[in-house]
Amino acid sequence: MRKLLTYIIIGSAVTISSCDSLLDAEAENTISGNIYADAEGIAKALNGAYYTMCGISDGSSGGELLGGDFIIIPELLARVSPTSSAQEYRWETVLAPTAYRDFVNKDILEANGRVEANWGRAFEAINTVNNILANISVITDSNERNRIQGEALAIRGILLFEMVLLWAPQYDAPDVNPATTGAFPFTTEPITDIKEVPKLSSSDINSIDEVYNQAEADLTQASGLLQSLGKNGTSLSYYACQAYLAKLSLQKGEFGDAYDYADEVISGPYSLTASPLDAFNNTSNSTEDIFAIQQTLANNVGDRSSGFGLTAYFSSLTESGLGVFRPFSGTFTSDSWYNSPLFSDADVRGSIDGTADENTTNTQINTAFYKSVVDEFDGIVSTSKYTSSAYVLPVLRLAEMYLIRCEAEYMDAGEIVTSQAIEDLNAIRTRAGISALTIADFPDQSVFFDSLVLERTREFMFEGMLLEDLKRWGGFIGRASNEYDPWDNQFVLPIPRSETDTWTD
Amino acid sequence: MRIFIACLTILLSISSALAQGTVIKGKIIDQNTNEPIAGATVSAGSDNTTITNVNGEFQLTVDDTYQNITIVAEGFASQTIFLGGKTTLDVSMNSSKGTQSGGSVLSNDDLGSQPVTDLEQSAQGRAAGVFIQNSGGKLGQGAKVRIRGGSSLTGSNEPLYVVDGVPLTSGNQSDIDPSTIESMEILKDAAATALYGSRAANGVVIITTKKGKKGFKADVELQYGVSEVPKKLDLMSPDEYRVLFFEYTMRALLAGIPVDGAGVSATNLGNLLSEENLETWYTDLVELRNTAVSNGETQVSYTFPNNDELTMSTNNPIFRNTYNTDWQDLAFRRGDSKRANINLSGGSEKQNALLNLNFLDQEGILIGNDFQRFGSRLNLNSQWSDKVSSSISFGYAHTGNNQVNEDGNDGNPVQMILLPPGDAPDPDNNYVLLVRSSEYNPQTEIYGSTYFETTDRINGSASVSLELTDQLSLNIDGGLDLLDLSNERRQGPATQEGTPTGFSQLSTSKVTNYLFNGTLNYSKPVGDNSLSALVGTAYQSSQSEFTYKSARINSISELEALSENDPSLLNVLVPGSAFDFLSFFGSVGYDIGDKYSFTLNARADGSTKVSEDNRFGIFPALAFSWTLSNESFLAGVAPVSFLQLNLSGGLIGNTPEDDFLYRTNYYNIIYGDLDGYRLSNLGNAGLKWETTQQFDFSLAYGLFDNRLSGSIGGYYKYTYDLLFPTPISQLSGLSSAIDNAGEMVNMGIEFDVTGLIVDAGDFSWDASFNISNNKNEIKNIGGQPLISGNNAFIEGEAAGAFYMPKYLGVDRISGEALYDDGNGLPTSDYDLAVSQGRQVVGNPNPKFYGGLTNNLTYKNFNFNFMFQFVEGIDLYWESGEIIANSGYGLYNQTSDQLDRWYAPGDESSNPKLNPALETPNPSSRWIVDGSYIRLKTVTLSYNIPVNFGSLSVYVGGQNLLTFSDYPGYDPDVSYSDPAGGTFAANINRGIAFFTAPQPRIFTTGVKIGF
Repeated sequence: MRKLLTYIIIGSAVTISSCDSLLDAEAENTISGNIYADAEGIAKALNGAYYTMCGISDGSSGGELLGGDFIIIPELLARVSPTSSAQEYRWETVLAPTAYRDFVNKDILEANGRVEANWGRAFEAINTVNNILANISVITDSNERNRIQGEALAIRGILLFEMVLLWAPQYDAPDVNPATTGAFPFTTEPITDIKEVPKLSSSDINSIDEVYNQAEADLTQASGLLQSLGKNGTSLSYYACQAYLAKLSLQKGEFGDAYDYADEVISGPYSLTASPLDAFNNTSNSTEDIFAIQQTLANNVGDRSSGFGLTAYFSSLTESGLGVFRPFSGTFTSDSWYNSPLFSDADVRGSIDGTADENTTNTQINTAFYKSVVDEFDGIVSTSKYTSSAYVLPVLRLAEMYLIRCEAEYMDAGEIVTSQAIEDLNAIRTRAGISALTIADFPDQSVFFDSLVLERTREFMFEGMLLEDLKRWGGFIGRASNEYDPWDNQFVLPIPRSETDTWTD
Repeated sequence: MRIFIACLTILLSISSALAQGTVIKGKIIDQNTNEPIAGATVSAGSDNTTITNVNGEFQLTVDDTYQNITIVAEGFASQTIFLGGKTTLDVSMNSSKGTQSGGSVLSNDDLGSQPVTDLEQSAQGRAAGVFIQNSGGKLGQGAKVRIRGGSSLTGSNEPLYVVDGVPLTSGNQSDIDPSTIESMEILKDAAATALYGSRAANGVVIITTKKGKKGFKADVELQYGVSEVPKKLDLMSPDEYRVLFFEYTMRALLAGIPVDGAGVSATNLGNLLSEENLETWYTDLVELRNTAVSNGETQVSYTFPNNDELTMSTNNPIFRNTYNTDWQDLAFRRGDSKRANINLSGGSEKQNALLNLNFLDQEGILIGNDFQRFGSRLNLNSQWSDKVSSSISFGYAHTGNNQVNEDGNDGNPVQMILLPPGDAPDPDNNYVLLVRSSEYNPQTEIYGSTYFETTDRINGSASVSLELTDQLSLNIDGGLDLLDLSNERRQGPATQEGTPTGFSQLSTSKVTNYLFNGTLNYSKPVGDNSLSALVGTAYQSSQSEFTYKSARINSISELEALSENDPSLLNVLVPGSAFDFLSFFGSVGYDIGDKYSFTLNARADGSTKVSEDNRFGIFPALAFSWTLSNESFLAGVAPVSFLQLNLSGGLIGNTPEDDFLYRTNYYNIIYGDLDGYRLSNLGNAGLKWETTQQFDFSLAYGLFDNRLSGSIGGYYKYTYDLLFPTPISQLSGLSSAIDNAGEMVNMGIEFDVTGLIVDAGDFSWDASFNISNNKNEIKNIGGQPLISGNNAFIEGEAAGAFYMPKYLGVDRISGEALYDDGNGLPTSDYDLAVSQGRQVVGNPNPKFYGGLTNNLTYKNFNFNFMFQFVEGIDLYWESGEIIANSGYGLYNQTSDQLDRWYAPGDESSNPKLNPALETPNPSSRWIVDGSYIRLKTVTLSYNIPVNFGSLSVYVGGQNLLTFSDYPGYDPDVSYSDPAGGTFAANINRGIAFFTAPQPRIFTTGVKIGF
């Protein structure tokens, strides 16, 4: 009996003393702890930041930021869709999250689910790169360190700039003082634990200037770090940073800088595709892609079956999309619409395949638009820019640099038409099949501006740029009987209620 | 893990070195007289029995202190009591069935002969304090079980199921055949649950399977059943629908919404709309159109009585939906089910075995839904010597389940009922609708895809009991629970998600769960009193692995054959889960005479689910029992034969549902062919146990010589450190982090009574009734409501309260739906009602629920029927958004939608048909009363006198009658998409969205015993 008790005591002692090792469960495919402790972890975190910034779908969410909503939201806002009169587009609400309806109606609730989704995802990417930057010194190889630091800074700069376009009033709009007008709060401090989460209040909202300055500083520093790497594969490069700096300077009205940045990119290793249609639906970057989202059949921003992302909404092809977004082709040539592209017959960017049906596949589409295969209503078309989730999704195209340089040159010269400006405009016009213009076509200098506006509208149709362009140009949305001023507050995304609910005031 | 095995080896080597058993001691007394009962038989299985001595005392060596002990005495109702680890057992016998504190026992008599095939179904309505609500009527779908209310917001509120001592980890009980169960005990109070620790925070269901008996015995049961849909909804007829379609088109034109090839001049046409006018006009229009078609014209013109004119293409869909389809008949079917159960048992006094084999093949009432199960179990009991005994229980089950899509998915067969009755499927074209081809027909999904799930489960335990001294015994057991699940889903090229190449997905789960328990029991009489003590340790280690892969191809085997780096293959590295529990516990009991009994339990539970700083939680519980009927002051009070007061209180711990929430986790992603990490959650180094303070009381009574007995009881549960997703600034990248941030209360009253109503020779009639209520209230979640869909967690409200715009009826002038604008005033601006006027409009928890069982025996006939009821529960009939919404989206409607607004002045129950409505505008319009009374089961059986063993035949039915005002199929419903996990199950309560009803089942069967 004594022997037994000894056994029991020994047994219990072993059991108790080994508590810690008994409680050591670890599961497969889980990652925890400090992932920023070595170069490999940081590289993986950086790829995670790309994934997040590009809105790659994980099955339960996707299609945010550059991979969708930064195109979809401004497109829905910049065109009109009243239910009971002529429309520029129809949005089939039941086939997409109902939150998109707010953008169609131009009445965005603070609790809008898409605003929340993009807000959260943007800061997730920013927090990831903040962590990378805080731990960048653990990378001992200086070339690798420069590359990762440069790309991380570029991601933060790009997101802050894209966010300020949507979540803040236009930089130089009347009644806006960029130094004092609030945009939104952001931080460059890393957060990895619940204790590090800041308790914000409305006084932490950064001004428009502060956001622009951070974005500009990040992109400038990133340019320096990435310059020696050229195109840098399909990752963010020196040229992508320069291109974003061109966009940023243009939006602020700093035309000289915008010219220089755009000029630097144009002199780089990219070239315009032969036809504007060639710039889309490619399995790898086209010659004019400065930055594009690398989608594959398995990893993309969302598709027909997940039900989110650009292709799911903008394509109506049976194999790839739901055709939620349904533009009326009648508005493409009617000057009663302020922002009609007024396509001429020769313009390939306005070509429509009227024979498409539910059996049509993306490889059979050779036009800019095709008859919607899900909506029989006369004149409803789909854009051919995003016909499959397996194709790379252009974010920055060289064509934009030509039109930025053109606009910057014209504005910087004091709204005077120069041959350089005409040349840039013609570079975009001629490859689309329409005639080159000459200085003689502009006896009235201001007409050139109209041509430039029209060219941007045509070239970047449904690429999410119209809203920021109208804000910069001071243009209007819709048509005379149904018009909106994009400088109105309803065209600024609200800081989500789920965010302000956590604030101390 | 290695240490664990070492510990186990040491402990097992002790047990093999010293062969002894566990001694149970106790005293049996008569409740009425307090006199000891001599000669009562106390048994732990037929091979292990003893008889009480002249003082009513007994001593019995058992192989497992977690088993049932049956006491039979002449002139008293027999009792079966679950030992629950105790080694002393004092029992008061009465002449009808007694009641135990803290738990409800359902014996095989209650469970076995029912015509039901799953566990939760068989317990529904039978035990006080146990609310069982079905998720829906799909086979293998399961039910939500809440014992005394849910005490967690983020964690599972399902009870712990323990099969022969082994807790099931995966929570899927559908592979247990109720007919293999000897008894099922439901533990509810703090003291009763103390032995199972943290995993028992939501109560424990202890399942004891049948054990072998001395001699050879064979039992065979064969059952055949037919299932059918219990109710058809009253939907619009094809003719009514065609007029609805016409009105829809007219209203679109009048509202300026373009309709292809149509136009109308409209002066005051809108004011002339009425049900009769629309019908007349439509009839006239169709006639004109048919004439136009025969004349080869493509346009038809129609002049309304007010001279307004309509022109329209003769090919407009309103002319083409001429079919007559009853979609309900196509969605539902009559299903056969076949069940067989075989028990073979045999052995000697010392060694015995039981082998059970069971088969089930069941067709669901939904097309494409069926379920097969094969189960087996082997139980071996051995009494090696006076001091040593052992038992082994080993079960294997295989299930196969042809599944149908989740309720919210367009491929769910029940969604067929929303399709236009004027349309029809084209079987030659993948069941695409002939007219409205863009509307998805679930038949395309069902006939064009496969969706098959298989599970294999091994569940086994082995235990050894040693009697060390007269006072001291040791019990050691180890168990394992292994589950392999494979879910294959192929969607063909014609289906919505499979188009155009097909889509195949394969997901697997593998759950491995090891357990070990060791208890040392001590008991010693101290004069008239007795002392018992127990110390023990328990260890559980669980590991789950998941895989998922998919590709856009139309074959599971091709998917499996794809190489790892094939670009078309999506191979997700799904994070696994793992947790360990390590517990030390002790219990001291002291009984003073036959009147007072005290028990003090304490546990230290360690879990890997909470932070390293807070690994161990200490959870004590105290129970007191006072048998008043043994006091002299009640001795002469005639009607009282038994009266016992039980009080208990204690702390119970609960852990988060997810593992590793205390640390910052990342998951693997792939972007551009490169691996990467993405943030999954932010760590919380302070994460600790969720704790419930529970107080219980119950008064067990027996009256009129115990012909009437039962108990009345109540409880109060206060949960603090409630784990809750606390909102945080999204600058962190996430919108919430789990923190111990809330408080919640559950309280309730339970009552049950069992009576022997008639006992007259050949005829007897006994009945039992139970009724319970539970009030749940969230006390604190940091102020902000947490809203998910149409439910919310809100302070001061029950968890999952319905939170949405409040519907105020119809505006008589405009015909629009009116909502509370937040200030109590009506508004037709739905968006305003959402942003300003959302409010609590219903509670998905019942006010009370219960059941009534009647058992009548006449000679060899037995008739058993059970009513089950739920009262004062709100449900959100979300299907109504689609099919009871004034013609929304041109879906077919319930007939009551004919009573809708047509023209100014109409007083109608429903708003006007609004073709501009883009969303169904959820509101309290579809909050409905989900109360019901249901004839849940009926069984009539006849024992045929035979000269071998036994033979009986029976007929029965399930869900035969339901009394309810509920407009949908079945008020016994609470659907949440499994993809939303535990959190969705906790918050998205009381929802029915094209949820299949419980079938009505007729069964017949035969039982043969040799």
